[in-house]
Amino acid sequence: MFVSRLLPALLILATAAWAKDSREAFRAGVGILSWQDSLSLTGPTNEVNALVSSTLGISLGGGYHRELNPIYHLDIELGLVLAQCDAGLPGPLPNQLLYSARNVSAYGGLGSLGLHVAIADAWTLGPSLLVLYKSTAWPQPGAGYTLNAEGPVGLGLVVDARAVRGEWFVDTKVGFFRSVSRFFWSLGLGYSG
Amino acid sequence: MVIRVVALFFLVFVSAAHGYPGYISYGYTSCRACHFHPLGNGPITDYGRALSATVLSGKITDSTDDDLAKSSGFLGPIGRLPGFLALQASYRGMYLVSGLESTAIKRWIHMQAEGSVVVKDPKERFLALATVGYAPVPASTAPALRSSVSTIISRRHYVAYRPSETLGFYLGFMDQAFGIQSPDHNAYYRSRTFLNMNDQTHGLLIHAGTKSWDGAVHLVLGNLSQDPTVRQKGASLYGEVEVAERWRLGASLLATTGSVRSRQMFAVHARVGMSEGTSVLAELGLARELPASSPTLLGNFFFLQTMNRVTRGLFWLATFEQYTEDFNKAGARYYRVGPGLLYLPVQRLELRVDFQATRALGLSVVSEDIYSLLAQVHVCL
Repeated sequence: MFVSRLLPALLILATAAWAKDSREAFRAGVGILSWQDSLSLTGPTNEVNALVSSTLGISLGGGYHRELNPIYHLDIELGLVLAQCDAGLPGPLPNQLLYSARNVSAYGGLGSLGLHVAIADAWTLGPSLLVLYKSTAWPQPGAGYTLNAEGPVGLGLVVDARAVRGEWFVDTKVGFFRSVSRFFWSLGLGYSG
Repeated sequence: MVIRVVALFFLVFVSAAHGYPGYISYGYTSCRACHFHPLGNGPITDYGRALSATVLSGKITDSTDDDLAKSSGFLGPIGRLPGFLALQASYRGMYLVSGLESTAIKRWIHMQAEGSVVVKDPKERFLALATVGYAPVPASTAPALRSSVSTIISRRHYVAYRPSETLGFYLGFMDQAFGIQSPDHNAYYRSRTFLNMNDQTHGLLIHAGTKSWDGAVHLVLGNLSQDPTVRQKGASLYGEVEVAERWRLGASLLATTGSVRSRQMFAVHARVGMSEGTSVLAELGLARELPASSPTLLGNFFFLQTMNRVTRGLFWLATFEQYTEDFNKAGARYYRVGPGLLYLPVQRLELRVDFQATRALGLSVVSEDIYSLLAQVHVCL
């Protein structure tokens, strides 16, 4: 709900930014990122078991930075994501696993739109809206079971802090992805041209 | 009125906040600028107190920086201690709420309660330092043995001789020279490497350094108050070089051995001041454990923390940690990440709140993240 309200506001600000005579820069960066997804495992008697997957990946991409004024900055980023996912659910018996898959490859794309405040010369802080697409080829569970994953596209909301030194910057994002109970983080290093 | 009284109390009776290595962003690249120990941690010098009062901490009164600096000593505005003596008392408590994702467990932890005495000559060529503090009984101690464990311990006691600005000898009980010293003692890079707040060791530390570099050799015998079987004897090397303005790169090497296990560690670290008040700390290391009765473990640890000044006395923190106990077996890799706020409303008082999300990867069963909230109060006379 909060995300759906923030998106139009950010888009309006982004549109307004183009009307201003403001400083801009293109950026490139690499980073690591991690989040959790919800899955479900349907059993032979149609019972549904909830489980989570954890994903760790790297992102490689670029972005556009525009200073709307000395205080507010707009950042748009797009990146390619390569990741590995784990998922596993214990069964009712000791040492039994209803489902377990480790180091499952995933790929996708990440986009973000952020409105950040220049707290000081060398750092900005503010919210960013995330759009993440991910494709994961989960191994099929045992006979009689079906694994159901969430849709490939999810939205998130993060606090984005960026510390700058010359042309280089360190970017940290912490927040939520898909729901407030799912934590998302990323840590990146970038270059601003 | 109440606020003014509380403010006056802290202004008069409470002292310098613990040093953060991120203060390199202010141009104070060497730990020796503010600490009696050349590699940081432990009691703060008069200069460090004044710096805390006039640069790092906020102002809640109309006092000038000059007035704040003059009253930054142990006695505050009441007076000054004689030049040969420095005293410090500090308390750090934490309200920990863990398991926020399910049934939260709340508790108050006395992390640190200690007093320090430093006797020195006016030029600080000779000094003797002792810190005695409270240490809670480890949770792993068997109930039957808990009453026999002393909760009052020495955290450091040593004598030092600095024949010149660039060379110093430190003999006694102190923190092992290795990596970045920071107040985040529960961070993986300190707790999982046995370099925690109660892991000091007896030994001889030889420090050399100028404004642009620091180096140390630390020969250690282990904690002589502990059972000989658990003492770790060996050495560590530490070096840090300023490669650009407010930018230092360092490396550490440690090799110790004992009858229970041997340990070898290597780490590289960076402290980068991005601009005044904004810094990035990072440390990446490898740890090799050779237990006497089980297979060798080869793991790693990583710590990165950005510290950004919002306004004088208030900082935004973002902390990223990773730890792998052993690469050789299919074990867990732990990630702990979270934002935080550090507030130094006045010199002598530090308030800090951190949110942490802990995630384990590489296990057969995947669990929900563990969420924790840590609220700390640190008062330092």
